[in-house]
Amino acid sequence: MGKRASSPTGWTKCGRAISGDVVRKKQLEIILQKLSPHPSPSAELEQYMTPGGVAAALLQLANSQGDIAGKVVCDLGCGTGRLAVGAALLGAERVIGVDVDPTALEIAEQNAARAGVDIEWIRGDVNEFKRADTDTVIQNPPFGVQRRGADMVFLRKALQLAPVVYSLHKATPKNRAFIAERVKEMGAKITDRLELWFHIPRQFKFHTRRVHRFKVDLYRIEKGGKKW
Amino acid sequence: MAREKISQKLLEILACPVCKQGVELKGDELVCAGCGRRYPIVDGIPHMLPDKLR
Repeated sequence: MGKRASSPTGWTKCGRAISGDVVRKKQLEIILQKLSPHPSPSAELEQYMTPGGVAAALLQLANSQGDIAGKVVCDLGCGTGRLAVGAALLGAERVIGVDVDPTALEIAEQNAARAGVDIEWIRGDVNEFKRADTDTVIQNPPFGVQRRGADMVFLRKALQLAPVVYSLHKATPKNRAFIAERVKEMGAKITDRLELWFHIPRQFKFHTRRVHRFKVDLYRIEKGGKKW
Repeated sequence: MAREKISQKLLEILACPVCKQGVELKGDELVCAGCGRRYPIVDGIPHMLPDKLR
Protein backbone atom coordinates (compact mmCIF):
# COMPACT_ATOMS: atom_id res chain seq x y z
CA MET A 1 0.00 0.00 0.00
CA GLY A 2 1.13 3.48 -0.67
CA LYS A 3 1.40 6.23 1.84
CA ARG A 4 -1.77 7.92 2.85
CA ALA A 5 -1.62 11.62 3.25
CA SER A 6 -3.07 12.85 6.52
CA SER A 7 -6.27 14.67 5.84
CA PRO A 8 -8.78 17.00 7.43
CA THR A 9 -11.64 14.69 6.60
CA GLY A 10 -9.96 11.79 8.31
CA TRP A 11 -9.41 9.26 5.56
CA THR A 12 -6.34 8.09 7.37
CA LYS A 13 -8.62 6.77 10.05
CA CYS A 14 -10.99 5.14 7.63
CA GLY A 15 -9.91 1.59 8.35
CA ARG A 16 -10.80 2.03 11.99
CA ALA A 17 -13.49 4.65 11.89
CA ILE A 18 -15.74 2.65 9.63
CA SER A 19 -14.67 -0.80 10.74
CA GLY A 20 -18.31 -1.67 11.29
CA ASP A 21 -18.76 -1.13 7.58
CA VAL A 22 -15.86 -3.24 6.41
CA VAL A 23 -18.06 -6.23 5.71
CA ARG A 24 -20.43 -4.05 3.81
CA LYS A 25 -17.56 -2.73 1.76
CA LYS A 26 -16.52 -6.27 0.91
CA GLN A 27 -20.09 -7.11 0.00
CA LEU A 28 -20.28 -4.03 -2.18
CA GLU A 29 -17.04 -5.02 -3.88
CA ILE A 30 -18.38 -8.50 -4.59
CA ILE A 31 -21.64 -7.20 -6.02
CA LEU A 32 -19.85 -4.66 -8.19
CA GLN A 33 -17.29 -7.19 -9.38
CA LYS A 34 -20.14 -9.38 -10.64
CA LEU A 35 -21.65 -6.72 -12.89
CA SER A 36 -21.23 -7.31 -16.61
CA PRO A 37 -18.29 -5.75 -18.45
CA HIS A 38 -18.34 -4.03 -21.82
CA PRO A 39 -18.36 -6.62 -24.64
CA SER A 40 -16.11 -4.57 -26.93
CA PRO A 41 -14.23 -1.83 -25.10
CA SER A 42 -12.76 1.01 -27.11
CA ALA A 43 -9.12 1.96 -26.67
CA GLU A 44 -9.74 5.48 -27.84
CA LEU A 45 -12.33 6.13 -25.16
CA GLU A 46 -10.06 4.31 -22.70
CA GLN A 47 -12.88 2.02 -21.70
CA TYR A 48 -11.83 -0.31 -19.00
CA MET A 49 -13.87 -1.28 -16.04
CA THR A 50 -13.20 0.23 -12.66
CA PRO A 51 -12.01 -2.75 -10.58
CA GLY A 52 -14.65 -3.73 -8.02
CA GLY A 53 -12.30 -3.07 -5.12
CA VAL A 54 -11.41 0.41 -6.35
CA ALA A 55 -15.06 1.27 -7.01
CA ALA A 56 -16.05 0.03 -3.56
CA ALA A 57 -13.22 1.99 -1.92
CA LEU A 58 -14.20 5.19 -3.71
CA LEU A 59 -17.86 4.78 -2.80
CA GLN A 60 -17.26 3.82 0.79
CA LEU A 61 -14.94 6.76 1.34
CA ALA A 62 -17.36 9.14 -0.33
CA ASN A 63 -20.17 7.77 1.79
CA SER A 64 -18.14 8.11 4.97
CA GLN A 65 -17.82 11.82 4.16
CA GLY A 66 -21.59 12.10 3.80
CA ASP A 67 -21.40 12.53 0.03
CA ILE A 68 -23.50 9.57 -1.20
CA ALA A 69 -26.44 8.50 0.98
CA GLY A 70 -29.41 10.81 0.47
CA LYS A 71 -27.54 12.83 -2.18
CA VAL A 72 -27.94 13.49 -5.87
CA VAL A 73 -24.98 11.74 -7.44
CA CYS A 74 -23.75 11.91 -11.01
CA ASP A 75 -21.38 9.42 -12.63
CA LEU A 76 -19.62 11.06 -15.57
CA GLY A 77 -18.34 8.61 -18.15
CA CYS A 78 -20.25 5.90 -16.34
CA GLY A 79 -19.48 3.14 -18.84
CA THR A 80 -21.20 -0.02 -17.69
CA GLY A 81 -22.25 1.75 -14.53
CA ARG A 82 -20.22 0.26 -11.70
CA LEU A 83 -19.86 3.47 -9.74
CA ALA A 84 -23.43 4.54 -10.45
CA VAL A 85 -24.90 1.22 -9.34
CA GLY A 86 -22.72 1.27 -6.22
CA ALA A 87 -23.87 4.78 -5.32
CA ALA A 88 -27.49 3.70 -5.66
CA LEU A 89 -26.84 0.65 -3.47
CA LEU A 90 -25.41 2.93 -0.79
CA GLY A 91 -28.63 4.92 -0.71
CA ALA A 92 -28.12 7.89 -2.99
CA GLU A 93 -31.39 9.73 -3.46
CA ARG A 94 -30.92 10.00 -7.19
CA VAL A 95 -28.21 8.73 -9.50
CA ILE A 96 -27.53 9.98 -13.03
CA GLY A 97 -25.14 8.13 -15.33
CA VAL A 98 -23.74 9.80 -18.43
CA ASP A 99 -21.79 8.12 -21.20
CA VAL A 100 -21.24 8.63 -24.89
CA ASP A 101 -21.33 4.94 -25.75
CA PRO A 102 -24.77 3.35 -26.27
CA THR A 103 -23.45 -0.20 -25.91
CA ALA A 104 -22.01 0.63 -22.51
CA LEU A 105 -25.31 2.18 -21.45
CA GLU A 106 -27.23 -0.88 -22.53
CA ILE A 107 -25.07 -3.02 -20.26
CA ALA A 108 -25.34 -0.37 -17.54
CA GLU A 109 -29.12 -0.57 -17.67
CA GLN A 110 -28.98 -4.35 -17.33
CA ASN A 111 -26.52 -4.05 -14.46
CA ALA A 112 -28.81 -1.63 -12.63
CA ALA A 113 -31.77 -3.93 -13.14
CA ARG A 114 -29.77 -6.86 -11.85
CA ALA A 115 -28.73 -4.93 -8.76
CA GLY A 116 -32.34 -3.80 -8.32
CA VAL A 117 -31.64 -0.08 -8.45
CA ASP A 118 -33.11 2.78 -10.43
CA ILE A 119 -30.70 5.02 -12.31
CA GLU A 120 -31.28 7.70 -14.92
CA TRP A 121 -29.03 7.13 -17.91
CA ILE A 122 -28.15 9.78 -20.45
CA ARG A 123 -26.25 9.22 -23.66
CA GLY A 124 -24.11 12.23 -24.23
CA ASP A 125 -20.80 13.91 -24.32
CA VAL A 126 -19.98 15.44 -20.93
CA ASN A 127 -21.44 18.77 -22.06
CA GLU A 128 -25.18 18.32 -22.09
CA PHE A 129 -26.31 19.43 -18.67
CA LYS A 130 -27.84 22.84 -18.54
CA ARG A 131 -27.95 23.03 -14.81
CA ALA A 132 -27.28 20.82 -11.92
CA ASP A 133 -28.69 20.13 -8.55
CA THR A 134 -26.01 17.51 -8.24
CA ASP A 135 -24.40 17.13 -4.83
CA THR A 136 -21.58 14.80 -5.76
CA VAL A 137 -19.86 13.71 -8.95
CA ILE A 138 -18.11 10.35 -8.93
CA GLN A 139 -16.00 9.51 -11.93
CA ASN A 140 -13.34 7.28 -13.34
CA PRO A 141 -12.50 9.39 -16.37
CA PRO A 142 -10.25 8.33 -19.24
CA PHE A 143 -6.73 8.76 -17.91
CA GLY A 144 -5.80 10.95 -20.83
CA VAL A 145 -3.14 8.51 -22.00
CA GLN A 146 -4.68 7.82 -25.41
CA ARG A 147 -6.15 11.29 -25.75
CA ARG A 148 -4.19 13.86 -23.83
CA GLY A 149 -6.15 16.04 -21.47
CA ALA A 150 -9.29 13.92 -21.65
CA ASP A 151 -9.38 13.63 -17.87
CA MET A 152 -9.18 17.41 -17.45
CA VAL A 153 -12.31 17.88 -19.57
CA PHE A 154 -14.12 15.57 -17.17
CA LEU A 155 -12.74 17.28 -14.10
CA ARG A 156 -13.71 20.73 -15.29
CA LYS A 157 -17.24 19.59 -16.10
CA ALA A 158 -17.53 17.74 -12.81
CA LEU A 159 -16.65 20.87 -10.85
CA GLN A 160 -19.27 22.82 -12.76
CA LEU A 161 -21.89 20.25 -11.84
CA ALA A 162 -21.27 19.66 -8.16
CA PRO A 163 -19.52 21.09 -5.13
CA VAL A 164 -17.80 17.78 -4.38
CA VAL A 165 -16.01 15.55 -6.86
CA TYR A 166 -14.41 12.13 -6.47
CA SER A 167 -12.13 11.37 -9.35
CA LEU A 168 -9.54 8.74 -10.27
CA HIS A 169 -6.34 9.74 -12.04
CA LYS A 170 -3.02 8.29 -13.00
CA ALA A 171 -0.63 8.37 -10.06
CA THR A 172 2.65 9.78 -11.25
CA PRO A 173 4.53 12.65 -9.61
CA LYS A 174 4.22 14.69 -12.79
CA ASN A 175 0.50 14.10 -13.06
CA ARG A 176 0.01 14.93 -9.39
CA ALA A 177 1.67 18.29 -9.81
CA PHE A 178 -0.30 18.90 -12.98
CA ILE A 179 -3.65 18.07 -11.40
CA ALA A 180 -2.90 20.14 -8.30
CA GLU A 181 -2.19 23.12 -10.52
CA ARG A 182 -5.26 22.69 -12.70
CA VAL A 183 -7.57 22.20 -9.73
CA LYS A 184 -6.27 25.43 -8.26
CA GLU A 185 -6.89 27.19 -11.55
CA MET A 186 -10.46 25.95 -11.48
CA GLY A 187 -10.94 27.59 -8.11
CA ALA A 188 -11.22 24.28 -6.29
CA LYS A 189 -9.33 22.47 -3.58
CA ILE A 190 -8.02 18.94 -3.21
CA THR A 191 -9.10 17.89 0.26
CA ASP A 192 -7.84 14.32 0.08
CA ARG A 193 -5.77 12.05 -2.06
CA LEU A 194 -5.49 8.32 -1.69
CA GLU A 195 -3.30 5.94 -3.65
CA LEU A 196 -4.96 2.75 -4.88
CA TRP A 197 -3.89 -0.20 -7.01
CA PHE A 198 -5.59 -0.91 -10.28
CA HIS A 199 -5.55 -4.39 -11.76
CA ILE A 200 -6.77 -4.61 -15.31
CA PRO A 201 -6.78 -7.82 -17.31
CA ARG A 202 -5.17 -7.49 -20.71
CA GLN A 203 -7.80 -6.12 -23.05
CA PHE A 204 -6.08 -4.01 -25.66
CA LYS A 205 -3.30 -5.00 -28.05
CA PHE A 206 -0.88 -2.53 -26.55
CA HIS A 207 -1.21 -4.19 -23.16
CA THR A 208 1.83 -6.40 -22.91
CA ARG A 209 1.06 -8.16 -19.64
CA ARG A 210 -1.69 -10.56 -18.74
CA VAL A 211 -2.70 -8.36 -15.85
CA HIS A 212 -1.72 -4.75 -15.91
CA ARG A 213 -1.12 -3.41 -12.43
CA PHE A 214 -0.64 0.26 -11.78
CA LYS A 215 -1.29 2.95 -9.22
CA VAL A 216 -4.07 5.47 -9.37
CA ASP A 217 -4.88 8.40 -7.15
CA LEU A 218 -8.34 8.89 -5.81
CA TYR A 219 -9.01 12.57 -5.29
CA ARG A 220 -11.69 14.29 -3.29
CA ILE A 221 -12.02 17.78 -4.66
CA GLU A 222 -14.18 20.53 -3.27
CA LYS A 223 -15.30 23.60 -5.03
CA GLY A 224 -15.11 26.88 -3.15
CA GLY A 225 -18.57 28.31 -2.55
CA LYS A 226 -21.97 26.75 -3.12
CA LYS A 227 -23.29 24.87 -6.08
CA TRP A 228 -24.73 26.85 -8.93
CA MET B 1 -38.60 -0.75 -25.34
CA ALA B 2 -38.16 -0.70 -21.62
CA ARG B 3 -39.37 2.81 -20.83
CA GLU B 4 -40.89 4.95 -23.54
CA LYS B 5 -40.86 8.21 -21.71
CA ILE B 6 -38.32 9.92 -19.62
CA SER B 7 -39.04 11.52 -16.29
CA GLN B 8 -39.74 15.21 -15.82
CA LYS B 9 -36.87 15.39 -13.38
CA LEU B 10 -34.44 14.14 -15.99
CA LEU B 11 -35.88 16.45 -18.63
CA GLU B 12 -35.16 19.42 -16.40
CA ILE B 13 -31.43 18.86 -16.31
CA LEU B 14 -30.91 18.12 -19.99
CA ALA B 15 -29.60 20.74 -22.36
CA CYS B 16 -28.88 20.91 -26.05
CA PRO B 17 -25.16 20.10 -26.44
CA VAL B 18 -24.89 22.60 -29.29
CA CYS B 19 -26.56 25.76 -27.98
CA LYS B 20 -26.95 24.84 -24.28
CA GLN B 21 -30.66 25.73 -24.22
CA GLY B 22 -33.21 23.55 -22.49
CA VAL B 23 -35.05 20.79 -24.35
CA GLU B 24 -38.74 19.91 -24.54
CA LEU B 25 -40.39 16.57 -25.00
CA LYS B 26 -42.34 16.50 -28.26
CA GLY B 27 -43.83 13.17 -29.18
CA ASP B 28 -41.03 10.67 -28.66
CA GLU B 29 -38.23 13.11 -29.30
CA LEU B 30 -36.50 15.90 -27.44
CA VAL B 31 -36.49 19.23 -29.19
CA CYS B 32 -34.15 22.08 -28.33
CA ALA B 33 -36.00 25.25 -27.38
CA GLY B 34 -33.21 27.36 -28.87
CA CYS B 35 -32.02 25.89 -32.15
CA GLY B 36 -34.72 23.30 -32.79
CA ARG B 37 -32.30 20.37 -33.06
CA ARG B 38 -33.93 17.08 -32.26
CA TYR B 39 -32.62 14.33 -30.05
CA PRO B 40 -33.99 10.80 -29.98
CA ILE B 41 -34.93 8.78 -26.93
CA VAL B 42 -33.82 5.19 -27.42
CA ASP B 43 -35.01 2.58 -24.94
CA GLY B 44 -35.73 5.32 -22.43
CA ILE B 45 -32.25 6.84 -22.74
CA PRO B 46 -32.02 10.34 -24.18
CA HIS B 47 -29.27 10.57 -26.82
CA MET B 48 -27.89 14.06 -26.41
CA LEU B 49 -25.25 14.14 -29.11
CA PRO B 50 -24.48 16.77 -31.73
CA ASP B 51 -24.87 15.60 -35.34
CA LYS B 52 -21.23 14.88 -36.01
CA LEU B 53 -20.96 12.34 -33.22
CA ARG B 54 -24.00 10.23 -34.03
